Amino acid sequence: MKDFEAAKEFFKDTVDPSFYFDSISAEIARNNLKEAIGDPSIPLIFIIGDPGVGKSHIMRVMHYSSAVAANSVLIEHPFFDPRDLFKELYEARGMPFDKNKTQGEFMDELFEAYVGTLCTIFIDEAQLLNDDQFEFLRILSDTKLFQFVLAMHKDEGMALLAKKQFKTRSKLVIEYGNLDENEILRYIHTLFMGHTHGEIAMMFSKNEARVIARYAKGNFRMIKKFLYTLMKLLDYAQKKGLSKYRKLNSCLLTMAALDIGLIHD
Amino acid sequence: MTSARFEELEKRCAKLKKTRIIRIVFIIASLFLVGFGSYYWMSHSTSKSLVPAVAPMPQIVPIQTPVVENNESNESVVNEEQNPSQSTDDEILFLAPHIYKNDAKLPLDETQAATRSLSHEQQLLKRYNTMQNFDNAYALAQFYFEQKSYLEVVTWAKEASRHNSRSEKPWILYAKAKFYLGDRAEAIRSLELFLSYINSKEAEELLIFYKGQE
Repeated sequence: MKDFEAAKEFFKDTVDPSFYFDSISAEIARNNLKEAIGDPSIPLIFIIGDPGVGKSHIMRVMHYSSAVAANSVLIEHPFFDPRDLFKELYEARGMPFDKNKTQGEFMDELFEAYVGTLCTIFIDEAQLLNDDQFEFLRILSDTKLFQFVLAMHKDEGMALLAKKQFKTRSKLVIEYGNLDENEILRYIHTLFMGHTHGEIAMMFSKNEARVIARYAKGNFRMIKKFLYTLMKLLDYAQKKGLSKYRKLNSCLLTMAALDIGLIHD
Repeated sequence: MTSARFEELEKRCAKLKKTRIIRIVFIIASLFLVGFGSYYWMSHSTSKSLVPAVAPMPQIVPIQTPVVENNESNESVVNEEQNPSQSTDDEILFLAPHIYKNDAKLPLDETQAATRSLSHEQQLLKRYNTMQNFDNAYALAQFYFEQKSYLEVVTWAKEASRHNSRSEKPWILYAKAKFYLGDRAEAIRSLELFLSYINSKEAEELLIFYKGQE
């Protein structure tokens, strides 16, 4: 009896920094980030890619890694007022925050607090920031006290990088790509094997991975969503004793794709 | 996952599968048709170009509707020209089978001459189809006379005469063609018939010549 009910939990759309899958894109991004974080000559780092490829995940992984955690701030949602960012930076240093101070006072106090250290600030969904906010980040990065890692969607990221104020600055751009069928298969096997679901892992071969890659177009979030639905279907079929669906077949894969709207009839 | 949802997905999957199969069958059928069509077109066009080289017979040109005139001589002409065309049908099938299309090896000069001739013929036919008048019909009669395709000459001489019954030229060609086909009596009769209506020195001289061949 396979435990599909438990297996599907691995594919819930949550970001768990304790789990890291070493896809080619993730490895490239991680190595580049490891080298660049803490380097004052690179004040701006851009991670760009399509939604759901794993940008947020790698940001969390890097933020929580022991090498960076002590001196980094993670902002999961973009701030709409510069004071929100100041507040985060104050709290990171354990300083009391008074929102009635002026921007100049905030800056002076922060320079004093952070002088001599390079603080890395991870900002997710940075495509939502407006021009003024980007300008504010640029000013902060010019102080050489703060380093920004900005994750944003590919199109917006490209448009931003083409702007004059960023074009001439020293920066690192990391482009996050999609998973290919071999990586998908390795991901599934690694995940199930690592959680003692070897029997379920063995249900997947390269053919199934190819079909999943085709339906999900290699997008990591979509692959998780697909596998979550597939586990649900397999669980139902097993509980109802439907022998036709005891093994993975093209119909089950199609049903999963139909259920999450990847294909239409 | 509810039963209803699972069953619905199953049905949608089956429907999708069916659509895919139909699409694949359609694509295969289309490819087959395109392939077969191309093959047929290629083989057809190749055999067409070889026909005049192997058998430059007048049968490959569609026979025009015969002229209905009030004299008996023309009626007999129609019967005479239809019979040979029927009798040569077997010959065409025999001379231009597809199995010869790749093996046929004609001398280069002959092939070129045949191609030129066919091209000229096509051009004349096209011109006549565009504008049906005496000059174009007579040009075709003249062309076939040069090619010694006398049955065709008969047809096109009559066609030219239909457009201009007062011209001696088609009658003379008609008489010559009949003479070369071995029907001297019809050649003489047609010239006499023409001369009874219109005076023509050339027709008269020809008549005298044919009469002297007895």
